[in-house]
Amino acid sequence: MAQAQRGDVRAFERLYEDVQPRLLRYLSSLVGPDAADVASETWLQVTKDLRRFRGTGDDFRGWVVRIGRNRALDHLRAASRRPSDAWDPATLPESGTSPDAASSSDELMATRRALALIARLPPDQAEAVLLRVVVGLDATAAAKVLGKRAGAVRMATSRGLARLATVLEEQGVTPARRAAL
Amino acid sequence: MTFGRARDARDPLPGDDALTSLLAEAAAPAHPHELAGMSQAVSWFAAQPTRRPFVPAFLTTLLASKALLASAAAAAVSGVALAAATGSLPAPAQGLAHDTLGAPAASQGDTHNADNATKATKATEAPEKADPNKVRASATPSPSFVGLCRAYGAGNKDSSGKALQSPAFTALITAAGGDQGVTAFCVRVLADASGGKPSDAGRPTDAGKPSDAGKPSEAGRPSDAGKPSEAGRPSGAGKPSPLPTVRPSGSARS
Repeated sequence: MAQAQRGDVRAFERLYEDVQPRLLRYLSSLVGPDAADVASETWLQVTKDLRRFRGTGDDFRGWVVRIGRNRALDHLRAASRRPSDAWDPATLPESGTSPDAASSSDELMATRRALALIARLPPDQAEAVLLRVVVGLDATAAAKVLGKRAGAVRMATSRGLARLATVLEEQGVTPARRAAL
Repeated sequence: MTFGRARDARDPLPGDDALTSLLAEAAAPAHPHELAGMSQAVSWFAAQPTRRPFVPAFLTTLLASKALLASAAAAAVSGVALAAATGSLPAPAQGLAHDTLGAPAASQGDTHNADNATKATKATEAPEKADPNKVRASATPSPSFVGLCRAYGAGNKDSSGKALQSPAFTALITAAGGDQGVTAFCVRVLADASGGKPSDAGRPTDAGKPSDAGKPSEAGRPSDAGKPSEAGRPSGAGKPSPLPTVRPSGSARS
């Protein structure tokens, strides 16, 4: 963290490698196919403000994701003026529709399917689950990102996980069978 | 990874394989395409100034109090102080003003002090603009660096090289003209501070209590000025900084 703040490119790359996949997956639940663009805007902001940031590597994740969330909300506000752009979570991460489908590995498709299932949760539950499971924030840090109390985040996470478990059970999907899908 | 258990009857058990597997897939390691934007981000990163002169909170306070002192002096001996601040007194008088008011020295100015005094007296034009090269070349380094150099020396004994990673030393690095120059710079600063005894530079703990820079709690505290504009305070703002923090006063006490 300190090295990156002093201009060490390699240190910055390590931060990027750690945070970017988490950020991208989280943003995809908010803005769908525009997640890459919003993530890019986020990093532009992050590089501008990096030297003013004070905190640990864990804090950095929360900080970046919070910037990303603000960018995503701006993006959604702009998009809401163009109603035809409304995004249906169910349409996003299906195989074959992605531009890099040819290079997609099984692991990538598994990740996309998992994110698609999470994205179908009610928005507050989806965000809470993603912030905690994918971004790796604790309840307090996630609550800061969302502007909520930690208790509310814990509740939303629990409900989201319970709902996911139910959905999986109803589908009768075991890990083995899901991998074969 | 553990989560708060819901009181719901459908509470997912930790052993729920399908759910566990789903979450693991969602949090899988990075896929290559997810890092496609890295070169763009790195170019933005590299385009930022590598080092902005960061003035630690305690230094800002120090400089502010200096400016206040200069201001008070100006009120008492306004004409003299203004003339002294702009370095326009006759040489002997300028020397006296330098010693008592922190005004520039008679011939070669300490541009640091000159700048403060000029600001304090609201003079619109300083004869010598503050110039980093000049500060570096000055025969009398700012006293602020004495404390920083002692802190640097103390840190160096414990963990060589790591000390400079603390943001508190950014100003020092800037003044020294880079990481490599810090040791030489500090040898000179400490030699000047102790009346020309370079041997003191190697024994920071013997040099007495570091007066200004010896408070790690201040140096490590996140400042409000450092608040990221967009996201507010990072969640760990109140926690102790993970950055290596040199503790000169601690080593002086022990």
